[in-house]
Amino acid sequence: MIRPDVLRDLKGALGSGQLLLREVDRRTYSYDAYLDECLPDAIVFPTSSREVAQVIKIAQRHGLPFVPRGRGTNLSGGAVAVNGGLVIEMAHMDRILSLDLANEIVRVEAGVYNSQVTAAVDADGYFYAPDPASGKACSIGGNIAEGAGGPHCFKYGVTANHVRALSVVLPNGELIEFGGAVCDLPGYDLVGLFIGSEGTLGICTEASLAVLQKPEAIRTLLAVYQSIDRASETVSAIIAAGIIPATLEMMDNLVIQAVEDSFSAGFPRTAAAVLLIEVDGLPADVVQQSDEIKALCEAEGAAEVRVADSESERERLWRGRRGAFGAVSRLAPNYLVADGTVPRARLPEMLRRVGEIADRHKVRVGNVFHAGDGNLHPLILFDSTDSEETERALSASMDMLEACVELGGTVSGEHGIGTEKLDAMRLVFSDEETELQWRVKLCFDPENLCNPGKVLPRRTSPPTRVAARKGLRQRLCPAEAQEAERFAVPYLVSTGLATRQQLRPRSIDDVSAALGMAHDEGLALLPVGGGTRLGMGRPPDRTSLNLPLASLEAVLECDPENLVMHVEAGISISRAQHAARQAGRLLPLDSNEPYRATVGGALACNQQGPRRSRFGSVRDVVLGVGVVLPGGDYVRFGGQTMKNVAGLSLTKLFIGSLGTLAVIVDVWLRMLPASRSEAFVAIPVIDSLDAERVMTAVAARRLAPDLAELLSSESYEALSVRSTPSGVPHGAHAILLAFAGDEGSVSRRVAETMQLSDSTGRVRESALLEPLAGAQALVDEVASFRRWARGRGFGVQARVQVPPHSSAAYLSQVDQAAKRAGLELVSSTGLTSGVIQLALRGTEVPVSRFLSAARAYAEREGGALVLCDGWGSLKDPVDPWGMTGPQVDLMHQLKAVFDPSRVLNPGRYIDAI
Amino acid sequence: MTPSEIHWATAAQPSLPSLRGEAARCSRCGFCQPVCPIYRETGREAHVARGKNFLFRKIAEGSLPIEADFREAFDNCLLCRACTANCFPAVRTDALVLAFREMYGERWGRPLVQRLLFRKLLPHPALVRATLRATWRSGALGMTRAASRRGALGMLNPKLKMATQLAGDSPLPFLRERLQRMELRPKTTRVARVGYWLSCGYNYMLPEVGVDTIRVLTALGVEVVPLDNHCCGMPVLAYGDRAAAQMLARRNLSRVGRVPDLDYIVSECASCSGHLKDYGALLGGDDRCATSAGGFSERIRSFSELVVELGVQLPLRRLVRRVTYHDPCHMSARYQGVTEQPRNLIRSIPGVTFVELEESDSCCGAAGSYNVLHSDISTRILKRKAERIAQSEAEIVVTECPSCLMQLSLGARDHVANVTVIGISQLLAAALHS
Repeated sequence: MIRPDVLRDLKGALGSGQLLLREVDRRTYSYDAYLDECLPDAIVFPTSSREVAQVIKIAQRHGLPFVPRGRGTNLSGGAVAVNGGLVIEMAHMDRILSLDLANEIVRVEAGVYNSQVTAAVDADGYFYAPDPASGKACSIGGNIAEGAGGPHCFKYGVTANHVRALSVVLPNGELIEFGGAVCDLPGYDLVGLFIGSEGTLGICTEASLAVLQKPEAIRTLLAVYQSIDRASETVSAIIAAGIIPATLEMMDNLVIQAVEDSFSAGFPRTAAAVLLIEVDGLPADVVQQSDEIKALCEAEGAAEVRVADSESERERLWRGRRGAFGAVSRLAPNYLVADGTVPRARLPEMLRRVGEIADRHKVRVGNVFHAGDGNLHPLILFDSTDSEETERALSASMDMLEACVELGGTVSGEHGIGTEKLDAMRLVFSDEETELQWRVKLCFDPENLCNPGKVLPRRTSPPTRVAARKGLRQRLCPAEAQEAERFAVPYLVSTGLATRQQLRPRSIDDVSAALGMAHDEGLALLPVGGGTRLGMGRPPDRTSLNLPLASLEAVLECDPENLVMHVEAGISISRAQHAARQAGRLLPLDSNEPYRATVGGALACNQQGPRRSRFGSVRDVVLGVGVVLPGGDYVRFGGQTMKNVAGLSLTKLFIGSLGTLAVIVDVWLRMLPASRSEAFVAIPVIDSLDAERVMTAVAARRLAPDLAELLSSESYEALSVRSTPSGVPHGAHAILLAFAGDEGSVSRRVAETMQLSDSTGRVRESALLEPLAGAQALVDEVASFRRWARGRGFGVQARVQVPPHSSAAYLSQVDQAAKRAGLELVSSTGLTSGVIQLALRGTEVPVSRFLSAARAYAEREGGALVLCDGWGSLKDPVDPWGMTGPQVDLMHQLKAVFDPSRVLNPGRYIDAI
Repeated sequence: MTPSEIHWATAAQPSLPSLRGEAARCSRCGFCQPVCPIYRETGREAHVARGKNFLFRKIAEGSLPIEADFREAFDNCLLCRACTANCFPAVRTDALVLAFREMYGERWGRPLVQRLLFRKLLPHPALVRATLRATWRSGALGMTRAASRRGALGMLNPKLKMATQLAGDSPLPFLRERLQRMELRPKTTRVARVGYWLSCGYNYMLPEVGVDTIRVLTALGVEVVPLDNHCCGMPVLAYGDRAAAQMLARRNLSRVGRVPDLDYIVSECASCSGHLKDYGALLGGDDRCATSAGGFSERIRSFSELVVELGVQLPLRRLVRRVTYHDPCHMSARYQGVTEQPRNLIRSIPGVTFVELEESDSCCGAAGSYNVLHSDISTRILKRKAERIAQSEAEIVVTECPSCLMQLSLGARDHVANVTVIGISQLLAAALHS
């Protein structure tokens, strides 16, 4: 029961009706959709972020645990107050706060139902992609806490890929904003870390969600099988064929029967399994893809493939899929869901194992799951009043998770660890990895009061590090002189802080040894990939040795059937792209100077190229990383499965951290099917505002370019292309558009673009471009704007991020500012991503003034400006990062967790971290 | 486990194991949350089906006692069945709520008021009539209304305030007396002889609706035979007093059974018509009554159901109005499933523009006496309904239940400008060529 002094404080902070203490309420808040039941002491209903903060401060003052709860649909026990205390129920914070459809963002309170988000933008032609089957009943706050997925996440990605910003009340009661109006703000990715942290790092009160334009056409297929094997082989075959449908769901007979008992969804009762496949996109692509899928299903032995013709038929099928869990509860009083994932090619094998495990434990199991993601959901049926049967169900569930891990997968794809899978954490994480997560958790929540008892298994004594360092110096030093020269940044050397000395590791073990040694001897290290980003940040604040990683350049695995590539971090982006291409796939990562820039460097600098609006940010491409911590331990987070919510999302933390937390040594990357056809079109424009008019017309016609880069005429003319018609009249700028996809849709989109008229009704002059050295080379040229600019003496370079819709207006502003200041400015602007590369000639004081103004413009739009090169040459240096605020304190604390003795990149990062 | 055999109108309380099995079908998926009118307003787990199912399961398994604290959960149910309609295993939470109310009454005894009302007063219509007439005549309600206008009543007791607001103007004389002065023979060729069930709501509160019902029926060619019935017993059952409900059912059967040659029995009260259709099930175990109850239930029609079934074209004049329709729970697909007939009747009036009401079949929060006993929550539910009505931009809201009529009128008065709430027979009567 709650203590009187706590009660007094709570009553002081909350209105009547916002605090529940009676037994009927404590009982009904003792559970979520998993099995655990624990009584909370009280339930509070905050109505604002401020009230959440007040409640948390009271809890902290009295040492009372608190648990955030959305709509109680959690399948892993995450919303249960295992240590008692307060349940903070977010149901009363259920407002849609604002819609910004120009930038495709919706701001909501955490208690909003998932399905409400799509409902709010549906009439305007948008949707919110993550669609857990429980969407009608689960809250966005809960989705964020768990890193929720859903059927359409196969194509569109999970919650983590669709959240821009969060309001979070930290466990100390401080209200803080993570992220912002734009992607890829500088700083540690606290949004990424928070998503999937299961309410253990704080309570999300509001979120800015990215919504997408609804596809023009949708077609839903139902493939019917007489054998589960044939169905799961089809899943592998579809992915191997390089087709990415919007959904690829599978249900077995037991589930089909249960659903059909609930209502007639239209699944054939006698089928051993069905696949529910949806393709969406442009009408021509949809027809072609669904025909190909139909043929594949038939070739793999489908007894029948039905196409849902009407919207009502489609809705009926989906209602059946969404209700599958509920329907199965007709069959037994309880069920467990084993939420493991496997690499997709292992699906048939895993399903066989599920059957064997069920037989071994004599439990009934139904399967309904996201086959396309390799995310299984075996539903294990039992009656919790039968303790022996319960025991068997629990053992079967654990065996299934173990089997997933054995096949290269993980223990949770989207439901979270909660209390359910605490034991299973040991299957995927070493003691070091668990300890690191504990330290991050305690960095946010030193008293362990925020949703205690979840995600992280009981803490063991910190492991002691033993690293062999024998002969290390001989192995690592000295480097060849000219190589050292290559990485010696003149201004760093001139400050005397960076030496020309380096340790050159040739293996991951070497990196471990080097970091161990640096730690022991108090050295500072500057991890270097291709050396293309050494100008970022300030110089290190003490003498540092280079740690070039270019020798770690192996492709460890390229698995085209699973669309995953595992590489060492020092591999150049070009080589990684090449390996993907060899396998008939596409690596969705572009970069400035791809022949030099490394994959690890792209991660550390959070550097995505011009196709970002299609590929997503770096964090959307990375499935897992292996890093060496200062001290020498190798730890790994994430891996080769598409979905992974096991443990805290530390993977995200390393992206954009500029090597200040750990040294990235190997990376798992998502691949895409290779585009069958590509085409480039250029449209000259007079000024940047003109570009905005063109892009409005492009968006209205849903032409969905892969790349829409606004280039200064000089840099456009430098591209190696042949254009038809030649001699397009020159504008001051040119918009380069790239289209990729099936031939039919590419040629249709190109034709429409060539006929594009703007709001004045005038048809735009445009030219079809033929890349002289291939499509990738042309993209590389566009991506290498910075190198091109540097070659022409534009040595001060900055990257700006603004909301995409504001990018043209922003550019027009800085163009004028540069003119006024008498500076030469060239730029490359991602019109659909809002990423703007600025390059300036000159090092005078006006440059600094200009940069400060350009930063202020960006910040006014909710964006940011990061100085990428030339800081050392500025007469009157500006802060290269320009980031302040309470997040920076958290970043310092995180730095202290990972690198307490500041071995890595000391002083280079934000606020001289 | 087989699909649910649990039904709430049964001759005996379902066995505890079968009730436990029913509660255990709940997978805690939470799909009941967005559709429960009470939970939508309070966000409180005890108010949603999942919470009730959980508590009931624990009680049925013996790990929680039946105690007063849990009444919070089971009293806060409108019995609207929205949860079950959106539940894949279709858990009959309404039946569990009823079972709890019944078990609680058995365990702890029923409140004196309920005992007097259900067992002493309701079985004696003459006594009910006399009591209510005396209440109205004495001006007791009038006085409280005057007090309510001064704001004193709300401070004294919000429940009383709500009751007086709902009661409206004096209904005297009651419908039964008014019928005595009315022409009950068909105006044209007789198409059917129909027993008219006097619902308490129309008889004692809204007699003017009943008058219009008779006008429409006679215009259709119906010979109307007013029945000398008691309360149908629906409210009594909803309070978990199955025995009293069965007693009322038996009395009604014996009274109505004496009336010869009825083709149909009609009621414009959704709760009455719905409950009367369940008499066969409610008395299922009773040998003597079972047969007659079955035959009786088959002849029951709700008003709009009967009008459409008779298939006679009413002589209607033009009525240029924008009209919407609220489905009473007991008419909706979750109970009687009479949803198309009222809409078709409205559309059949020349000049009328019919617009659908968003969430038209979501409970208005009246639910018998819920709006009086839980006026705070009910008012919030009503406000949402009123907002939907305002969005529809209808001039007239039509429904077919006295409880809904009173509730919606109050909602319209407080939250929507220029909208009238009337019974479906009132709409048809207004369009009749006189």
